[in-house]
Amino acid sequence: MDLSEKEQQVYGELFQTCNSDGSGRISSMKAMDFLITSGIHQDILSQIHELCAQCGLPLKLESLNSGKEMPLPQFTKSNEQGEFPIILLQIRSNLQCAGQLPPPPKKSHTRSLSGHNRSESLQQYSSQSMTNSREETSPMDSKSPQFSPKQSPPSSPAVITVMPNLVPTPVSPGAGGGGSNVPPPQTAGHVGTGAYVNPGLTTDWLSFEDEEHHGLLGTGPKKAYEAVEPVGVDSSSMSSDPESVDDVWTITDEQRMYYMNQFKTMQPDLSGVIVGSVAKEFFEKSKLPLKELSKIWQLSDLNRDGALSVEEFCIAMHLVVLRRYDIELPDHLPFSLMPYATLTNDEPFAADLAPGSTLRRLSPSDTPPAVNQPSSQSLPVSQAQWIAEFNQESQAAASDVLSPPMKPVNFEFQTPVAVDPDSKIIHPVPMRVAQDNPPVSGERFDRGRAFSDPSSIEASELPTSPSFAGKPRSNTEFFPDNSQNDISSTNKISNVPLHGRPRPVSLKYKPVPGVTGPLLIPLSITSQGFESGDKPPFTIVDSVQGPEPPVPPPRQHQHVRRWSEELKGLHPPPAVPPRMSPKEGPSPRKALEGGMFADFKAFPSHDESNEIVSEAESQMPNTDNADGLVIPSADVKKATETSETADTATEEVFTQSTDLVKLSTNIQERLEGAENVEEELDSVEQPKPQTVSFPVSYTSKDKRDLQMRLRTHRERNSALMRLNSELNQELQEVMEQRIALEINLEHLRPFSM
Amino acid sequence: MAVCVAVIAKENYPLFIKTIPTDNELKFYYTVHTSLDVVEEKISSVGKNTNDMRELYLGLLYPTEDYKVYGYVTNTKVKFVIIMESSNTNLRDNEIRSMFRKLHGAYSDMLCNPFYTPGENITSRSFEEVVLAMMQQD
Repeated sequence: MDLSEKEQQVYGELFQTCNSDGSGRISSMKAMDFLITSGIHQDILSQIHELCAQCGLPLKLESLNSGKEMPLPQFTKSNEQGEFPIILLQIRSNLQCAGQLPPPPKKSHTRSLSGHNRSESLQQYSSQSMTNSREETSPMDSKSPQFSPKQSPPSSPAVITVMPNLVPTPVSPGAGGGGSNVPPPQTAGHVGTGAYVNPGLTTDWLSFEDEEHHGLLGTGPKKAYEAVEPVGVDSSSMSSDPESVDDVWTITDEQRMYYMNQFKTMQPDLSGVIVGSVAKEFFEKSKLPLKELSKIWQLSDLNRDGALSVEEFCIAMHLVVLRRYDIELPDHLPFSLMPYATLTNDEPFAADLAPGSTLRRLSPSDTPPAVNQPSSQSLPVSQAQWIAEFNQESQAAASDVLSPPMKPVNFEFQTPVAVDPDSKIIHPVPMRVAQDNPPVSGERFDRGRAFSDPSSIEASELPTSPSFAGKPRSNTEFFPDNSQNDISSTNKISNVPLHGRPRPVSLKYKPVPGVTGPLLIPLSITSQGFESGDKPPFTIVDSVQGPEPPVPPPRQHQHVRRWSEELKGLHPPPAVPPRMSPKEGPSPRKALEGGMFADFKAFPSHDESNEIVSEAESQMPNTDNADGLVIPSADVKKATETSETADTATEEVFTQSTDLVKLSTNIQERLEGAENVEEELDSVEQPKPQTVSFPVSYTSKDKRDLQMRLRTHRERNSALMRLNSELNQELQEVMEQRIALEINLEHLRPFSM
Repeated sequence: MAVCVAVIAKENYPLFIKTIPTDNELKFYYTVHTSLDVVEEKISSVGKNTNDMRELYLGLLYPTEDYKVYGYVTNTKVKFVIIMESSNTNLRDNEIRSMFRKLHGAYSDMLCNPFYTPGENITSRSFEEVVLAMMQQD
């Protein structure tokens, strides 16, 4: 049971940290919190406490540590002391049943009570939790302090309970240095403890420890305990250290998992956001100065919406953790922290993950490996079953992890080094669900992707990028996709503005060529148009032609001549306005012109023959048609009708009026046609939201194509607009003519009368 | 070209003042301080005329020999004052407007930071960067 010097030292330090008031004792509350941070089940803790009290052993915090993180050797020692082998099973069963939440302590001690309170609400102990978390993070520091020799006794019993199982294990390194230091915990110690510790916590702890450990090794800023590092540190854990040096900023999978869990405590919906006020409260627990937190926020709130999405939260959390490790905050967000910057080809599975696959990492098979590998190596076969059990527990734990209210927030992790490279590869990035984005798009979206509302973005973007690359271009294919993607695409579009928001960090805001949303929208429209019309360019034309009025019946030269003659005096026949033929639209044009202008052209030709003009004039006065024509607001049709009914209408006048009517109707029809065209255009545009989705799926080639089409459509549209205005002009002229005619009639009236 | 950018709280105490390095920075402080009266005036007059849609941009507050002072008031009555060198004649009103808009955007971004308590002095680096960019490039 003797503690090594190092252990003593470390525990002493821990005690010092806990014993802030210098009283030489740690209050039960504090101790409780501290112990709880170890993740040991409350029952065990209470038993430990009892044991300590009973034996009056000089307590070494080690016992506590051992329960949690201490290497096996300690346990063995404690076993010797300990008397409760049987309890283990009990506890384990309890744990399994209870999941994360610690069942009420069987034996109520002050500690256990405090622990209870904790479990009840995070907030209660939030203030304390910080200290605890601190301690947790640096396992050695935190744990040992609480149990100074005096108080330590309680811990030992707990250890004992655990010990029986562990005893068999032949962990050599653990004995001496294991207790003192971080690294060992990962290995055998963890496994052994894991069974007893809350499953949820176990996983977290593992990651933390690893992180810490690595951080210590890799990063410059280390804590005092560096010196303390045990000789027996696991080689496996150590090996990965070098990596950490490379990039402190990279968030490892374990870290990400932990951050995600923290995120979920505040925002169960991964696609949701944490509002600033909530996040503030949370991050203030880190005890970092406001100024630094503010800076961190600046770096992490990528889209400046005052809220943190999962990704943003991970960044913020990571920065906080790093800051806790005395790593200076960067002026700009390090590249490796940028969303998706971390996604690389070395994570082949990311792409394969289904949206819901986030949990994959949590799945029993996945989680254990990291833990188990080391353990299995160090542990004897006899413990294999334990491991298996542990795995099961960890499974349960995984689910539990999601509801982490119980866990103290740990701000101290450190650099990211994967515990086990192999495991890392095997396990897809845990974040997937939230991020949802396939690595494919990673590069493109790196900068832009700090959406606070990940759901919309991710949902929309995910489908996009993959489809982009692989989708065949045919229109038919797009259709189905469109319907499915419609919503997402719209969301995406709506989100686009976010990108545009000015940011201090220039890099992120640079628009990625080809990715921009706005461009896509128009494209989609065009494509839609095409699909509906099959031949995009001609659809509109067709519509125009369809409505086009039948060519007016041939006119009798005589009549026409006369009135046209008259008109000549008053108004020269309207000249056909010069038209600019649209680029692509000669064909439609022709059709229109042919229909439209035929009438007008008829006039001049008719005018040529003047023979009967005089006759017409002479007859005109007799007409009664005037009535109809005179009607002030009368539209031409009405006039014609009236004139028709009118008994004595002279043929000439009648025909004239009918001609006019035809003309006007023609024009009207044409206008209507134009309107139809416009409507069609509108209709083409309306489907936009639905189609929007597929611009995404288009390849760049398609994009260009779409842009071309869009342009052509626009041109056609403008041409139609021009045509429309021309027609209006003509209509006006015709109206003028009509008025002139009416006036004429009026003049003639006296004669007729 | 902007020689001084100031953000003034609703209660007319300065939240942020950035001036170009000069021997006489205090002069700008005075200028800004003086401009507050004009701002006050403009706000009240504008409020009477059109109470529904207030134009945030107050325009040229007043010119001095060397400088022109422009003002802008957010909906929360936070004032932005920009002092420009009057030697720069080709400066268009629109440019000033866009500067204010940019400033306003930066300010609101900064407000989104929950660790900033409205009314505190502005220490945000990103905000300062925006201002500095404004003072250099323009």
